[in-house]
Amino acid sequence: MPKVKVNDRVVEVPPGTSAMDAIFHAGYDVPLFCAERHLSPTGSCRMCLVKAGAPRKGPDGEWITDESGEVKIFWFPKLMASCTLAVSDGMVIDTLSDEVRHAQSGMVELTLANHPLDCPTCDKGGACDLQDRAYEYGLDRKFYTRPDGEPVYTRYAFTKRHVDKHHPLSEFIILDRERCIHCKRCVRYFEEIPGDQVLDFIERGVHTFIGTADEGLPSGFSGNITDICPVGALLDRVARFRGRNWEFEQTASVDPSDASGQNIWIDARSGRLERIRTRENPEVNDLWISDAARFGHEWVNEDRLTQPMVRKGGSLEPATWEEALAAMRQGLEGVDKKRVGIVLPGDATIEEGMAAAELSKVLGSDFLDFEGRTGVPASNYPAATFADLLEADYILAVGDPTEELPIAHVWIHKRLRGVKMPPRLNHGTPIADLSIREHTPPDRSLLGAFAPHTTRVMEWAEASGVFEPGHAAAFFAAFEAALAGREPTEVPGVDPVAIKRAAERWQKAEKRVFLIGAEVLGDVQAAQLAERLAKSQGAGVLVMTPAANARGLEAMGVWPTGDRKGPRAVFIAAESAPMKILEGTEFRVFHATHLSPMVARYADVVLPAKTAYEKRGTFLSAENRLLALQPAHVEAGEAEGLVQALHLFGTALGLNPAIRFVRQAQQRFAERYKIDLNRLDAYGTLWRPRVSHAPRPMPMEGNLYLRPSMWKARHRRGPTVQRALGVLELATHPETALAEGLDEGATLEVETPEGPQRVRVVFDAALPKGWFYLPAGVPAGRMPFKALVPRGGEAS
Amino acid sequence: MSEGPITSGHDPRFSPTLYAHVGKPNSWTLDYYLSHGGYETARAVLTGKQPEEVVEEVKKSGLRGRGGAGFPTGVKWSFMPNDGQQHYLICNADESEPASFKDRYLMEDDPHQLIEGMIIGGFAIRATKGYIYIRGEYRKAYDRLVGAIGEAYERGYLGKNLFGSGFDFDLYVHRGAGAYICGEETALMNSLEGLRANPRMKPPFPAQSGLYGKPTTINNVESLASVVHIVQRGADWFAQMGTERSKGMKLFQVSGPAKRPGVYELPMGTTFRELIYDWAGGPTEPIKAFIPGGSSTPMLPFTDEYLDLPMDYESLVAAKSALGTGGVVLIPESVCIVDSVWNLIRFYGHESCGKCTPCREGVSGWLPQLFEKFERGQATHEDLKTMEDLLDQIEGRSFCPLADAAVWPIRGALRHFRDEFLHHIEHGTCAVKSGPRWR
Amino acid sequence: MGFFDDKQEWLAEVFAQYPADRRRSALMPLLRRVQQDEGYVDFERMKEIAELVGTTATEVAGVMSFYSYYQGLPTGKYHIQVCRTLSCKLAGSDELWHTLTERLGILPGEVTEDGRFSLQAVECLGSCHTGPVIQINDEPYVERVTKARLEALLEGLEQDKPLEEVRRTLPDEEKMGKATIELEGEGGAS
Ligand SMILES: Cc1cc2nc3c(=O)[nH]c(=O)nc-3n(C[C@H](O)[C@H](O)[C@H](O)COP(=O)(O)O)c2cc1C
Ligand code: SF4
Ligand code: FES
Repeated sequence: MPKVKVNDRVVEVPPGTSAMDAIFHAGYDVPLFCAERHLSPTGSCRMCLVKAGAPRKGPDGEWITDESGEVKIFWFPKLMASCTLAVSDGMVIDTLSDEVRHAQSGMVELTLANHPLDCPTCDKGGACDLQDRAYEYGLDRKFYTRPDGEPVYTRYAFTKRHVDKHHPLSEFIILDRERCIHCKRCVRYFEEIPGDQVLDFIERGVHTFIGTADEGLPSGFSGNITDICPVGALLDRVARFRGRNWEFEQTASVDPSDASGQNIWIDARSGRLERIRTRENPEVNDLWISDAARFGHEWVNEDRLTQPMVRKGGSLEPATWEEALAAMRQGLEGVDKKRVGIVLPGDATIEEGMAAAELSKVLGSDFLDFEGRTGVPASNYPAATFADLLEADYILAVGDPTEELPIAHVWIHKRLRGVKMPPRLNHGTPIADLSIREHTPPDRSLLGAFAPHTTRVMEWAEASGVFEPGHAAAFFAAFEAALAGREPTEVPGVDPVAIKRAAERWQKAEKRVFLIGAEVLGDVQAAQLAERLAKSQGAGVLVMTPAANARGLEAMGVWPTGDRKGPRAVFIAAESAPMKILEGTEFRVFHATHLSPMVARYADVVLPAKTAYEKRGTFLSAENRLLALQPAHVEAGEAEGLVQALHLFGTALGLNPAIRFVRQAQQRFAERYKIDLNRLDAYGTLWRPRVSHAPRPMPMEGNLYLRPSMWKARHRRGPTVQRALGVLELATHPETALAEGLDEGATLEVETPEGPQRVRVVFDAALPKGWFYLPAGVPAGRMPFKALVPRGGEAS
Repeated sequence: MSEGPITSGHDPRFSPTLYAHVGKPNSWTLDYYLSHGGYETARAVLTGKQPEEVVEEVKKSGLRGRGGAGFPTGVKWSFMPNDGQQHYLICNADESEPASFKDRYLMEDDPHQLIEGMIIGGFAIRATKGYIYIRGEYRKAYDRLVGAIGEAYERGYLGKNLFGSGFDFDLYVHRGAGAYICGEETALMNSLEGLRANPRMKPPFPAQSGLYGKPTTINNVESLASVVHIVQRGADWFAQMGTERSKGMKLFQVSGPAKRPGVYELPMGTTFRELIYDWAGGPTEPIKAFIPGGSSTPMLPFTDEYLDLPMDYESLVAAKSALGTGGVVLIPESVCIVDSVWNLIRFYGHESCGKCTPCREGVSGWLPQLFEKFERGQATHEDLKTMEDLLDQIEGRSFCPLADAAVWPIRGALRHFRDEFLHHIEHGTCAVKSGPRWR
Repeated sequence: MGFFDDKQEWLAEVFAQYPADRRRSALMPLLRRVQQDEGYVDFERMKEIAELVGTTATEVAGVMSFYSYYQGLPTGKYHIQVCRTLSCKLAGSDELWHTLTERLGILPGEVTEDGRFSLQAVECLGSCHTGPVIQINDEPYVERVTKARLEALLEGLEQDKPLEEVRRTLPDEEKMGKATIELEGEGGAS
């Protein structure tokens, strides 16, 4: 490995490392604006100039020496941008000399020339790279003294560039063009990470600004640019003007909206959740999170339930916890314990799952379930990690990674661009990885993508196809046939050539990764074929479960068994529950964060709940990775955690449940599995529990297909999200729509699991006839299309 | 004068080669070209030589790139791998440096010469596809090139299996759209790929990963045209012209108030005096300065000392300037130097791509405003100091050489005509009062 | 109807110039075609081009705005581009420019009321020895634009005579052509 001398320290770094990373690895600092972990180096801000030199070999293959016999250093004639300079053996780098510092301070002066001095009102203040560097390099000396005796510290005496200061790029992101320092991080980000080219430089020279012609930045990952913008040019509109950076309480946690386990910072101030930012985890999400994870938190602060409620004479009345306990005691009196059900939310933690499972065991009840559970357990499949995606020779996605497991989308794109897992240096991920290249088109031969609707990743796939909902099993049958060298059996809507192509690539590949979505998991037959394929052919699987902690809950034994008649009394911590349970039970306790129409209608007792942002606990993500949630300080009155609520429920049933606190569950977990959940590895601990559950078929019928979406129902309660997403789009083939008397653009209401929803009809001739597609959160599935109050006709 | 190297256009052994047919009726047609021995060199090369031999010959000739930087062409070609991949040869016909217009007539009046040069170059670097990136404004040259390429395809001088040699060569023309930076080779490749024309990082160099990520060589029009004659007449013929390290003939351009401004083909090492007086007919009004090699090269005083400089790379570097593209501009006494340099700074500011900080904020933003302050008569001595500081802050620190190209003219002007800047500061006006120049 | 719908053959020719998986290379030729035919490129056309070359309207806007030639606003039937860089300046292009703005009563970005003219100051056109130089639309240059020649040029265009014909009949045009030939023996073109 090349040895590099940085000032007075010698370090060894892998070949191809940038001088910048060698400097950081050696423990020195160098200023930078444009370089960014995981993005291609561009060398455009010129902030990181250093003096560098290297020895040369003579014709005899020996190092050339100087008069004193020392290896001679040939200095580069110019200062070099360290982010784009590759190290070589024997290289010498100087970051401390006056020449270097002077050049760097000159660059700060140029960078600030047109940068407004509005730090006092800038959300980035206190967390701004430019502010820090300006402080470091600025005001160290006056430039000259004016004839009137005044010292001059600022030589740029012209009017600063005046351009759009409040330019909304989308509902989520606001751009201040005056603050932009043209580091191009955001533009590179969109192209290189999610692959959505929705932001670019416009004009050139000093007139260059960033802009978009694609309204609303259509990308599911737009928010990350607010984290990586080194100044306050790109800001999170949901969190705008909500606090100064030093006022936020920052909590390291995990996003609860899907199973990818995206690491987040929760920023709370005065008891309100104000902002979500990404938290670096190079093995899970690098520096990136989905927009749903970032912007979908507004519901947390809105209309929270802050105290228990008890139904009295038909209506729910506020109550104390004692009164709630008494009401539960009364309501549960005489109920057969075996017929007491528990329904957890999909983002219940492992600890909560364990508490529920223990309670269920004591009750002797068969009815223990969680929201977003699939027909076949995710645990049946050998889990792949995201890192496996980078090594894969072939990736087969059956489902929609972008919406179902958003971070997988980013990893798939990385793989297709040929990006490797970066080496680990003393400062972590390289900041200027020279192996990453701008404008690398994705290698389409590595991806096959099939789903019941068009998906974003299909654009990158050499083989792709849209099969009709309900035909996942047919797809796998055809794929099996193709693998066996037979002509693929027919799959409605899919070109057999594509299946053959995908099978061919799959067969040739040594390392395969397979992604399956809710459509497959809901269909027991399809899921079993997929399992056979994965196991017989050796493939790691990323199971894109609708529930964030499906693998964790399954591992804790949360899974319905036996009795299909259903419970008589039920404890529901889920946001929505099947009609059969709601209607078929006599007594219902809800553990809820909000008084939703469902709670209001069905609850006998309501216990105020904490959201996943307020919990301590653990998830087992799609990768089988244990990740720790930490509670942010959000004011929610008397809200309690699920473990406590379950304990109270058990008490009301006359039991004395063993788990009363999260800590007890963790102790039990440590005894059982020898893993201390309080001491997980920095990037999460991989854990492969042994789980076996029998499949439980799900009702999947009807022609309304609930297309998975990263935006869950609760996200949509936030006003910004609602504005951004607008009216839900009901997509359908024109002929199908016309048969129903629906015109393009018509608005109507349709029945969904979350109640009636206002939707707008859009035509898409690429969709199979006879179906309606509606984006929906948990759970993706199917139900009969039922239009209420058609307001058809008027095109908008 | 029949011994030793040829360094004057008056030397009887010298006759124009590249421009031999410029200005002749129908010189751009294939028939004309064939009747003057056209494509015979390409035929001989493709059917009788190995690529390495061609590269060797061009190396031996000492030809240095005529696009401005003067990198040895043969050496550049030898960087191309022999790896069986698709290679590309790009002809840089962006010619946007103010004061340069030599390539234009090579394309307008002798397009087949360029095509033949590209076939030979393509063969030498194993490129079966070539692109001519021509600046968008050169409409006539574009029409002539497209016409010539059409003719060449029709009669088998382009396409498959040329001269029965088994070598294929396809040639396309891609038009620019008004951006000087597209002359920078990596920006040019981005432009050709349909991207914003920001320069790319080097390494990887084009020979490793150029157009579409494939090994690519980029040469100037004049460089490629010269290759035809080097291969035809031999490296020695070429090398007998010019000076020790600047060989061959070159196209020099004269603009500004001269009797016969235009393009002149002369041996390297010819003096400015010979170019300006003997060929361009001398000035039409008193001159105080001249730009020796295109707008980016620092200007020199119009004195005997500088007029007698031989036009070669080394002599100009010694005079703290550069040969560049060989575009000479005469600046008359009656014109203000500050105003003239402002014009050029405005040009570079307008053409800055905006990618890097020093060029965007310095060249495109700050410097033109400072000049404007001088022009308005509001500048102070501190402003002059600031300007000089800024030049230090920009030069050698930008991503690509465009910013340097903007700095150099100011350096030249300050070196030789500082008094005119001081005059602006002290008197608030130009040192000279120029009357109307438009007739 | 889309602009390119009836230009399939032309499109195929353009795309054939570049590797099949590099359709994006056709971005500039496509922009140029719209600019030529319609005088500017509007948002709808940008979207159409994006679709054709496989990218987004944003990227098209980014590329388009980088170059001086493509216009985002409508231009006149004759878009007059005046070189303003040093050699042309020395030949009087500043005065030529002022004359034009006054004579036509427009500034850059504007179009004369009759829709005939628009103006743009451009950088060095590569004809420094024959300044001042102007270019009209995408046509060959009009060189050595003296006062007399400018007047004749504008008059011709005001009568909507074909540009080529106007160019040929400008005063002194003959003589200039000859000058080139005279010099050729000495290896010069002027
Ligand atoms: C800002 C800039 C503009 C340039 N413009 C041109 C140009 O218009 N024509 C040209 O041939 N070379 C130009 N060059 C030089 C090219 O980058 C490249 O060196 C040249 O085309 C190589 O050809 P040669 O080796 O034959 O000279 C320019 C370089 C820079 C940095
Ligand atoms: S010096 Fe910088 S901004 Fe200027 S053209 Fe080069 S890369 Fe672009
Ligand atoms: S040039 Fe921006 S960090 Fe190196």
